[in-house]
Amino acid sequence: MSSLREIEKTLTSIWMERQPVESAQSLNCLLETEEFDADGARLYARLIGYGHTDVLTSIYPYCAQLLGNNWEKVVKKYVQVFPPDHFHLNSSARRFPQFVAEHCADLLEKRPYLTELADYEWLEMELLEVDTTISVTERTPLSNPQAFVSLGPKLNPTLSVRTYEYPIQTIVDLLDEGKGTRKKFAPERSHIAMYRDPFSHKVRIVELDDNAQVLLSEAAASSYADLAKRCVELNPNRNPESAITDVIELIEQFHEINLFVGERKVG
Amino acid sequence: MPDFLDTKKRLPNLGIGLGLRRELAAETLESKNRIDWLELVPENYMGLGGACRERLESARNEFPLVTHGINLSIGSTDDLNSEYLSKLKKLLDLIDAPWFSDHLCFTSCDGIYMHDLLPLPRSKEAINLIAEKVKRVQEIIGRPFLLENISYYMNVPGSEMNDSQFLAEVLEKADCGLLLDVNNVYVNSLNHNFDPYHYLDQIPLERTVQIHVAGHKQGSEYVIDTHGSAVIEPVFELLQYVLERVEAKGVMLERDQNFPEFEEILAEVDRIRKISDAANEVRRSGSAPRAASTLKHYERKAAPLGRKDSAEVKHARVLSA
Ligand SMILES: [Fe+2]
Repeated sequence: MSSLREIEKTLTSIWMERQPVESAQSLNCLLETEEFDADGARLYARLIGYGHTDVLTSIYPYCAQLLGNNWEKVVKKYVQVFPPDHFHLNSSARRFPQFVAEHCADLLEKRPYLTELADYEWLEMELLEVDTTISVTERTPLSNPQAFVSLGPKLNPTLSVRTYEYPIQTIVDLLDEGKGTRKKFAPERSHIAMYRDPFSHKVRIVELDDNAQVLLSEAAASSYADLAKRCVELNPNRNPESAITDVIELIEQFHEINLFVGERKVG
Repeated sequence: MPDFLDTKKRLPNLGIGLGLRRELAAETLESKNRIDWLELVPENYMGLGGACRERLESARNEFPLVTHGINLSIGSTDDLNSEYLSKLKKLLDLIDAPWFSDHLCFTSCDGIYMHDLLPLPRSKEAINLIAEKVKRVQEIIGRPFLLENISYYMNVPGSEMNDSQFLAEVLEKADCGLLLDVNNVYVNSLNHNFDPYHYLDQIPLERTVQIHVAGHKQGSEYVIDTHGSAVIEPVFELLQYVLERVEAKGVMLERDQNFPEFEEILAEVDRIRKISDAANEVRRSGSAPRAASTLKHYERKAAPLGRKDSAEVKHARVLSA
């Protein structure tokens, strides 16, 4: 191994806290009389460590809030298991949900929803930055019966729908109020839709009930009429007319909040 | 004449610029009357959409742009990252940058990115490696490339020469341009106890295409390159010294944190412009004086080097925008 390679590998290993500073004294390039700048190496290790904690905290503020004093230790362990492998700074945090799922049994015992919370936070980050152009196009009013049958919604291309085993949005709302860090949450299936707003570029999150989740998952391939029909099917005990009124209202809302960004011809 | 000096002659004169930062973007974009051009960190825009893309579009409609990268990792013994280079090229082509730059350092090893500007052993081996990589980068990107002198806080083992020799040999062998950070020269001169003017006299200043001016902070033991305070007189004096001797195609202020009122930033940009105009005049008239007394600039404020406290160290990083 060339000495440059050896030096870079050794320094990286020390700076990433994978080997102790003292081990550098065995570097071949060090003259017998030369002393390794251990203080300098520790300083860089600290700098790099702060960097990791900063990035992870900015992307996973809820996980950080929940774990409190434990957070820095968890970040350290994460970096050991999944060292940053990409030139995009934020990308170094992308495997945190996987890390929680695979390496944090102790944390999950107390907070079994932590993997899902981490997934929620990473998804938000991902959608904020994803290089997708969202074009919003004109639409025909649903009151036009012909349009109702021949047109369907165009989905916001950044849309992601998640089904969680825990009420993640409720947990997030509580944490926003500064509560919930000690609370136990029972499993309770929940659905959320997350997407980027084409105008503000902010990520929007919508909680969906079971029916809305089904309708949204089928929306890309359906006409408005198909969605209305499906809504009636999903609510066999309800008056079909009021089910249709509901679905029309839902569709209008989705357009209003740019979850739907226009219309497409069907068939 | 080395090829790069020929190239430099053909580069446009951009004037006085500012680093594009998310927090200052709105005011920056409205200050075309006092800022000539902008520098952006490519990693904050490469392959990203949403607000980043919108900011880039607005900036490119209003200003000439150049990039100043973090993660080319030119000194790494790892191969060049082809994904990085292709995304960088795409961005540079989009903004039609007259040149682009990165740091004389390494940021990655064995595929691990440390997201910090890390000092290299100042060795022949490093010079040869960097020269070869710079040539390949310039070939792939097809635009003039500059390397910046970094600030550093550690003596790296395996060093065979001093900082100015190392920088000079890299620039000559790679035949690329210099992004001279006069604040880094000043900070390093304090931390590592050398004369900044002597340093400037030892490097091929004629390769300077761009100059960074920034503020720093006196930590408890080290002076830290924070980009978070006002520029001090000795740094302005170094700027003047350089511009009285060589032409730079762009001078800019780096301000990355601890933001004051925007007017204060603009006042610093004005000050840089004033110094540049005066120094350019001196250079053109051929009457550049030597530095009168240099020693006063590098007297150490505190004896032995030690560590700074965490908050200050943390802000030495300049990755976010
Ligand atoms: Fe700089």
